[in-house]
Amino acid sequence: MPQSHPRRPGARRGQALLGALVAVGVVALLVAGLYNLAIEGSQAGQASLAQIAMMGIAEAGLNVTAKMVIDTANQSLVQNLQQVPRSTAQSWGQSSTSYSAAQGNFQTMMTQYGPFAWYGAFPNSVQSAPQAAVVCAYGTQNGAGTSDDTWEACVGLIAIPSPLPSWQDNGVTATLTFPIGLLAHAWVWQGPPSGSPPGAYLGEVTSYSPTNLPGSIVITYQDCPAYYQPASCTLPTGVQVTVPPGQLLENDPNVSTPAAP
Amino acid sequence: MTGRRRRANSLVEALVASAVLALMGTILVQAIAASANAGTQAAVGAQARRLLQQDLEQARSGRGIPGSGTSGPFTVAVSTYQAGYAGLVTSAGTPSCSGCVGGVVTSGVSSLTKVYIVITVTTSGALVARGATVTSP
Repeated sequence: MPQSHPRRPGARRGQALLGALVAVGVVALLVAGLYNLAIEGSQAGQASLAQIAMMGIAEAGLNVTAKMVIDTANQSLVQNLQQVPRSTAQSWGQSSTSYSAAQGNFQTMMTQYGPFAWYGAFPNSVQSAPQAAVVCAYGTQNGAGTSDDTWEACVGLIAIPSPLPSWQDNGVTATLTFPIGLLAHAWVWQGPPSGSPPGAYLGEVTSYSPTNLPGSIVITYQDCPAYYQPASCTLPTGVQVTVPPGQLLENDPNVSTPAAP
Repeated sequence: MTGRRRRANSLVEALVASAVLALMGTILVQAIAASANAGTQAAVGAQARRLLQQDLEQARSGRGIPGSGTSGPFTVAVSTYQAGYAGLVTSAGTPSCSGCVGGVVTSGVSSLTKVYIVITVTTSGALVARGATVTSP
């Protein structure tokens, strides 16, 4: 019967060393994994916080620019629309039998009476870029860090496909009702404006009025008998502009990014 | 090799093994503790971010300016300023009608309020979230 030889002490130490190295390697991998997990969790938290801060900045830009549009509509535009002749308003209402016709009449109204910038397509919007009466502004706002970040926002009034404008005459008053929508984008960059080089682009927020809640431009005229047509009968007795509220859409993939202001 | 020498060698090996085990155990425990701590911080941070998002949304959407105070483990500090802007990107259109006024009305922006929110952990004072927005027009 063969007899087993006891192992040499050197071989036993080698095996022990190998075992220790394997154990050390396993523990090192485990430790590295745990630390990596902690770092990834921290980075995810920071990214999430930066996203919330970016949205706050973009929404601030939207609100500031929307305020300009609302005030301009309620003051300058309303004042200017007081000069629209009845025949012109009637034509706008009766000829807007399609979306493209309504857009054409809206362009005439805005370029002749509106103090906004007129764009053949809403700026920096790839999809749903209708022609629009626009105000674009920029500014700074506190971000997630200690320095200010830059926002740019464009807010525009647009003609909408439905309902179409209408002209109604009940024999006492005649009214043009021109439904309008709102479309707005705000973009955010890291750091102050005109940075050199410009800071990193952080994100975008879109705002649009839902189709079931349009705003409107309403121009009212007094009906006068054919034998009595003073100037007051051909000019509006009332003008009301209602800018519709917008709903937010975050990170609209169909919006392009303009150059930083 | 005598029995006494072999026992001495075994003792040294056992001591070295114990030291290595102790070192590895300590590092492992520290890593587990750091991971657990990171998990706790992530949970606290997520809670703070949710609170910040709620407050920013309240201010932005016209539901009023959130108040300062404590909320759970957090202290919420709300500062308000006059809203502003740096400039217009688009130039105002010039209406073609006779006697019409041009120009974008920007004076109303100052009636809006910029709301700045800072959230810290009440017990430690550590900053966990901050952000700002402007009230609804």
